[in-house]
Amino acid sequence: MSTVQENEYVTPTEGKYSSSIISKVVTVFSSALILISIVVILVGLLYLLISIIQYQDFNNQISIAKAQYDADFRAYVNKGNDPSTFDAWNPDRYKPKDAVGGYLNPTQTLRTGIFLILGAVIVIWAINKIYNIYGQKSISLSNEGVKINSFKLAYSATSPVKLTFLPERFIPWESILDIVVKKSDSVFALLNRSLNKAVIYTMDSSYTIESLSFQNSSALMDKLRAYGDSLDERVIDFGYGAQLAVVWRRMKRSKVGMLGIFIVIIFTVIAILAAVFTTIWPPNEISHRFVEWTPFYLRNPNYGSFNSADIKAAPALTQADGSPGYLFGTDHLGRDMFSRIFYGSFYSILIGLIATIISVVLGGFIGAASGYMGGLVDNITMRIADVLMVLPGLPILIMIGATFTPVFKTLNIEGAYYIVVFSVFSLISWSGTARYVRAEVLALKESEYIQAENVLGASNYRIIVKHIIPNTLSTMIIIFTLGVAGSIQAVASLAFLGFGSQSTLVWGDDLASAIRDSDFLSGKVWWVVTFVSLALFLLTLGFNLMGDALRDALDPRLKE
Amino acid sequence: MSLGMYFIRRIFSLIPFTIGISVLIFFMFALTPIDPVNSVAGLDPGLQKNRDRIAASWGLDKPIPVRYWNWAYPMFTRLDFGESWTSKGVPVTDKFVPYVGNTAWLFGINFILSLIFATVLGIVASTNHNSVFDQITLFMTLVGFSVPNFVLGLVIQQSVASWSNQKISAIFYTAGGKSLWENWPAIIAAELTMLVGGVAFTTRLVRSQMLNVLRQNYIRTARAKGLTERTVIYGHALRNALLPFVTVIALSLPGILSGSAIIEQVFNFPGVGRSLIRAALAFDMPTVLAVNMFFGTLSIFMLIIADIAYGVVDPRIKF
Repeated sequence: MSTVQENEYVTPTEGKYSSSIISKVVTVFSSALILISIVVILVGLLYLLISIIQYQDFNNQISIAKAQYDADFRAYVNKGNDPSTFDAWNPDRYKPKDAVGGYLNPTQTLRTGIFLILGAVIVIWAINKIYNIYGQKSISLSNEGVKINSFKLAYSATSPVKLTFLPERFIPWESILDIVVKKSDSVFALLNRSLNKAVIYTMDSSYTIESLSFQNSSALMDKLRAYGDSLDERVIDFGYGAQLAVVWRRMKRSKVGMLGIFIVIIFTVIAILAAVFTTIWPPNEISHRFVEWTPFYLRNPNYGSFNSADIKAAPALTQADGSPGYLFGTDHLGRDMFSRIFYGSFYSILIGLIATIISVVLGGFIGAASGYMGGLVDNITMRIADVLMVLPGLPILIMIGATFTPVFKTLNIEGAYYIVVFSVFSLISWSGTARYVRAEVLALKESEYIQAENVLGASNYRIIVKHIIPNTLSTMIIIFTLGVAGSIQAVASLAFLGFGSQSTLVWGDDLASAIRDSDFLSGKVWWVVTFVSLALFLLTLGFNLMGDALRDALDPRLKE
Repeated sequence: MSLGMYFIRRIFSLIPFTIGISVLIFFMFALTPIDPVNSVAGLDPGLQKNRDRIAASWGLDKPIPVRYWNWAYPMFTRLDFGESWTSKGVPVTDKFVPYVGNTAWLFGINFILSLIFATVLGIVASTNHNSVFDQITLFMTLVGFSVPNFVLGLVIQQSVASWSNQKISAIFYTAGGKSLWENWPAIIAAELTMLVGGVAFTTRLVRSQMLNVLRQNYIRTARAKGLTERTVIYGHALRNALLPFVTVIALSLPGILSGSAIIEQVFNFPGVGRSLIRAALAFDMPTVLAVNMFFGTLSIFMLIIADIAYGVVDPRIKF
């Protein structure tokens, strides 16, 4: 500290700071508006998704209308009429109709979505600007020093008396200086010369700066960078490679968990085989060739037989003529249940995964952001999460399902309905993940390597994406695995209750149609419900067992 | 602060949360790019001709904020949820309020039964930690957890039907004119179905809480004093283990209640859940929104009850 120039201590008597009432009001409103804007952006994204689906449907309908026109024209000419007199272009007959009668406009949906997103982005940008100027937390200047509440502070060296407070974590420096703060364990000041940034670290929410000094501290900087680098190295070295081995060793201890992994692997293999074995994908096409070709008792899952002997046929290894029988029987349309369960596993697992990914990723980001930012944003987010936590999901899921069923009634896009429904539902279901991740982040935030990242001038985004999220992954994996079990059940329940999509092969739909069948009610056709239920139960059990064992292996703290 | 004051303050905090939920639910429905008139009228040309009139009669011709106000204002001031879309002139409250009682007792019985079974199982499992019984209980609770309850309901229906050589519909579905109690096989089967999930969930909870408490120092002290194992378990451990339990149970109640939809659908039981599904299938959105509001408000109310109950049973908590 030999280079400290004693005469350049600054007493901050003059400063640019906002009064606390205005700043509080601005802070509250901007936090609330930013949260609302985020929701609006999500809604806008949903609009975009729906517009894409509507466009696809629109194109479908156009090709159908064209085919219709061609057929009419051919019939007209075949009757011996003059082609030039064909004036059957009837806009009502050939106009492409969309899902619910030609009133939905994909362009309008797209425009609304873009408008919502742009509007929200502009609002966020404007709020950020306003917040930068007025939205300070309470800062009090006194002769003893500057008292700052959970704030990063910097002084511009060119005009030493001018204080600029910005809500960002880092404030540009014009030259090199050092900050001397009232020393305690929890407060220390560091600066980053190369990035022109300085940071005061604190574990407490408030601290007092005794004095400020200007100093050429390249030596300090070198020390700092060495510190930071070594920490970064350590993070990489003790990363996931080593951890995975430990986790696997712990996993192997739990026999029940291994059973779960076994079940999940079997079903995953089945799902992959389902995708591979199908020469026609998606398996909605009716193909007789495919039926002849089938190995392993597999038939086209959507091909119903018109032969009365094949309708509601009981499970059998071989048929009367020696050909492969229906392993799990057939349903009321003569469709082979073995194939339906086999191919249905693909969509049941895929939709369960996607539905969980959407909610876990949303919850993870919100939880990480709220834990990392802290303060009012954290407070508001967690109050919302509290309420969403206890809000029962099924009635809302039913409402969303009922809202979207009419749109997807005629759409032939596999899985689109469920993905839309569950992305809307994720607006509610993020809370559980967010709470766990937030707790994790709160602990992580104080760890040394995150602080080192901070010192090196990393942005919030970089810290969250590169350090916080990878470190909360183990929590996310547990939540994800258990969530998949829940999602598979939720998809099946939704389909079972009658809010399924006819274009997607999901197990719940089979159950739903089976229990409406009179022969099931009279107790004759037992196989449809039994085998589909069994598959559903085994898959859920597998994910639950695996998730439970993972929880024990990865994170003992999460143990209920 | 006295308990009464705290209670009053929490009741007032109900207001913003309820408004928040109403906004959430309403806009979730209203912002979807779907024309409700089309959903009901479909491609019926007769209805399509009158679509403007239908939309006006449902108040859909106004902008969304106005629609929200028209929906929410009567609801919050005089509990008027509006009129059903599908049956003309019938208030929405008539569509689900009469069934609240049915659902409540169906789930009340199940709740008490599962609490009793789970407490017994949980105590035995936790006092014999890592024994064979404990392992089996843990596995079985996971199994019970994983069975979707409609699957279990269907399996019970099928097995009872094949055992008694009768039709499922004859045993379980209320025929016209039958009273609720005459349909007792369905009620018993429904209780059994729900009991599996309920016991599984609660047993895991009791077990982990008990294990947590049994590790504490005061249990060691109690044993060191020479108290009998019985007094230690029931007098010291169980009471402390059940403390946080109160909160969890209160918070999970709305979820259990709303899960009724599936059970009620399987066994054709006249409850709130079934009326919700019927309304949703018929696209009677005012009823769907009202039932959602009902469950949402109930869950927040339970949040408050949980807080207060925890304060009452735990003498360490001061308001």
